[in-house]
Amino acid sequence: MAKKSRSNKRKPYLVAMLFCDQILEDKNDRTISLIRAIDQVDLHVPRSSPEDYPNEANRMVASFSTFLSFKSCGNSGRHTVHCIMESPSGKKGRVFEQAFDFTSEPHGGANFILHSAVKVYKGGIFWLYAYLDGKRVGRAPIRILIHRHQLDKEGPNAPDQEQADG
Amino acid sequence: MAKKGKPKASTAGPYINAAVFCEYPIEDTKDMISVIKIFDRIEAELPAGFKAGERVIMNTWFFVAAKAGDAKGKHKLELVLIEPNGTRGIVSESDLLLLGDEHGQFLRANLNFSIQAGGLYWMDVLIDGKSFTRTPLRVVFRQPSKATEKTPLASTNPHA
Repeated sequence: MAKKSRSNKRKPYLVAMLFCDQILEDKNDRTISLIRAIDQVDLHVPRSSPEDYPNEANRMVASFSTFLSFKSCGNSGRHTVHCIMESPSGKKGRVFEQAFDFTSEPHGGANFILHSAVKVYKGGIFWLYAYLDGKRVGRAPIRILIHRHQLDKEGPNAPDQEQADG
Repeated sequence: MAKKGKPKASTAGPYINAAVFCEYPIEDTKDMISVIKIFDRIEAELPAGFKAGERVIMNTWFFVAAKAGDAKGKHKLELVLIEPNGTRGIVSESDLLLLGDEHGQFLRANLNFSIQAGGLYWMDVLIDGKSFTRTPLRVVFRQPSKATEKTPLASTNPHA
């Protein structure tokens, strides 16, 4: 019995999901550059802050950008992309959703740039999940560290002591 | 008896977070990587006197970001170029040392490979022989008289 021929048409898929400091787009050739790929964000608590800062009511903000690149694999048309961020405590929140027309060429697709400002009071590993048309297609972890600089008894000129929280 | 649950997806691994062609990846003094000018289409200028059937050397960079997840230890990462006619050839082999969890490793591969025709190429990314993703590259041959410079072009819709 002859084998069923498999369709060469694959579903669109994710080829890049990266956190970085900055994302630049060349206006001439539309190429994207990812400046300083990161997997960790360091937040420093100002010396002048109260001892209980940050806390649930007063949080720090971790800012970073995320680059998502999908390839259409010939499946052009409108697709919906959404992202969910999961905190170390397991809380999840939708951080992005957009329907977009993917280009028709097999090497085409769509790029998305997310600028995130995550409010945190504890450090830990946050997960970003990417979904295409409701199906999860990728995930990426980012560690957010909160550093508390403690003033030494000898005074402000003493070397910093860093304490990573989480 | 309670059924065994599926393993949590967030602990599976290894997995690939990026596999892209780029003009060059830079590593700065603090070991931070920047990926400059990602592209999925390239115009290759043919050398003078080029005859159909001859091969042209392409030089490009390929960037891979791998994450460990469950995987720990040494793994083998291979890049396999698939030509428009289906011919496959390994263009890069390297060790991937994974430490588990959220840790990962970046690979910057400077590739020199010969191609015979324009068309749609694919870079298959394999870890320990298993394909994890593949990245397309449209190669367009250009006659030397028409232009002077090789220009990578992004054809994917950038969207902010």
